[in-house]
Amino acid sequence: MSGPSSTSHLYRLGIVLVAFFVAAVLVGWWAVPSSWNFDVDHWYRKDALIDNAQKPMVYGGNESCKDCHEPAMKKLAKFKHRALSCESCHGPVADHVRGNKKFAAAKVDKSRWQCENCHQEQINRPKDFPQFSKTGDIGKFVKKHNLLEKKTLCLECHNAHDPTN
Amino acid sequence: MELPGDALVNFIFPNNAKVWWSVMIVLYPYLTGLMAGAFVVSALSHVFKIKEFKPIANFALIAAFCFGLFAATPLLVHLGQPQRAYEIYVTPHLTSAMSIFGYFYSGYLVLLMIEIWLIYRPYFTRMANQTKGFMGFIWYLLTLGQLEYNPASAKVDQKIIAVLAGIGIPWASVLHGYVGFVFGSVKAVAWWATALQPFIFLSSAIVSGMAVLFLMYTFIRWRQRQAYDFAMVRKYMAFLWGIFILDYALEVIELAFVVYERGYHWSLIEPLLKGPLFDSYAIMQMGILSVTPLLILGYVVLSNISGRMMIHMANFGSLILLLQVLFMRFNVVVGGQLISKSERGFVDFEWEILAKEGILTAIVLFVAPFVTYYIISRFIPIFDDPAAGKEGS
Repeated sequence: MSGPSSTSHLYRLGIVLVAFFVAAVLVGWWAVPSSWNFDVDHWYRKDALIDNAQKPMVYGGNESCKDCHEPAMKKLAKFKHRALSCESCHGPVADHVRGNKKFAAAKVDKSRWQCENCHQEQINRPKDFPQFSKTGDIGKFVKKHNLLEKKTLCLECHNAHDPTN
Repeated sequence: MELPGDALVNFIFPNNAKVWWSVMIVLYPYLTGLMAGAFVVSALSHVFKIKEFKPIANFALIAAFCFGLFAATPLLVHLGQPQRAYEIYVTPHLTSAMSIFGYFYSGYLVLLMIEIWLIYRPYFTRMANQTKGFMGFIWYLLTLGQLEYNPASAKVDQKIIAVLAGIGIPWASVLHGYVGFVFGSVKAVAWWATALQPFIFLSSAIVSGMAVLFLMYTFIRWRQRQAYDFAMVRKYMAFLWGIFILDYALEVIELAFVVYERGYHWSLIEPLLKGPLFDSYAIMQMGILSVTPLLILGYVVLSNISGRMMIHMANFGSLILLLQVLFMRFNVVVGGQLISKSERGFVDFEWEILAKEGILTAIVLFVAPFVTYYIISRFIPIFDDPAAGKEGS
């Protein structure tokens, strides 16, 4: 009997490679989520939207305050800070209301940290925006602030909702 | 108000506080480079017929394979999610450079494996015929069930090996040039964004791969008390020296461009190079670690030095080059991220030792290819001809 042909080992190698390729295609097909959106400009798993929508709400936005606090919200409309989110100072609605019922008081953070979040001096903020340096000259914008101690709380003089009055 | 951990609030400058691509991303192009560089040595023999390199061609190929096996592990450690790591190979698309890399890298590894398989097939066949039991079965699997090796098939194999090595050169170049591309194409990072980046990565890859291969060679020869091939060493050093000159020139040209253009990028890079990167870039990478090997290897190549002294100098030069490329990888990967994304000020880089992406992990991953090489070398002949001792069928 004559020996194997000079290329028979290569056919065997070819079979192994094809087997790997087929396995890769099958595994790839299995690995792609069934709800995948194949439009290349909008690649995402469609079920991800549902998954996210089902997450419990934490922040409700200012709309969620209206149901119970309508009068206060109306008053707020004339104030300087009317555009801010209530929850950024009063905490998330999920810590305050559950199932349309108040179960805990909204906690207000009255520290300077809260004010400095927006009003600490930073290079990127508009020049005419009131800013206060944390360490140096706190009265750079309003001279009489220099008379105060550095620990003084902003809310001792200012109304948080309408600080310019 | 309670904030989680080290959360950043509002607008903070610099607006990024951590170097996210750290030691693991330094190690990844380093290991890939070692693979590409080692492969070039085998290709110099197989394709360009440099006869001095014939005795180390198989050694270079096996070493390249060992580095290749671990080249992507730093990425895996960096990203986490090992159970999803295979997905990059089975869900192809052409919209992401990172995804395309999966094909270049795995295709290259397959090419290496086929080339090694063809070279070692006579040995596998012989072992499968001689060995019984479990090991016999493993050898049998490695022959793919073809237990005969005849001269006609050897001829075919030699042709295919030459073709694969030929394809391998552009492939290795593209693979490593591509690593440079990933960095060079990030236009937001001033220190990376240059079209020269792929060429710098490629040439430094060849330098580091050749250097590590030489250190391995002398170490193995010394341990096994075998003679060094001095003619090979001299030729090898000439190649290493030449490619390093090219590599260093590219690095200098890149810097010279940015300096001379005095553009916006230089306004960001100048304080980086004079500040946080001064020691590791100016003093080490471009200074000591480059000038020393240039002089030492130049002396080895141009003088009549020979014997033990030549091996010592070549080893020292190779070690320094290995460090030079490691410093280069660090200076590129971490250095680029030190410029804060807001372009106002610098980010601090903190060395971690025991963390997931710390130095210990890096050492383990760096040592792994050498351990793998040691294990492989227990089973197959590296420096001897695999076809030697062939029994007629």
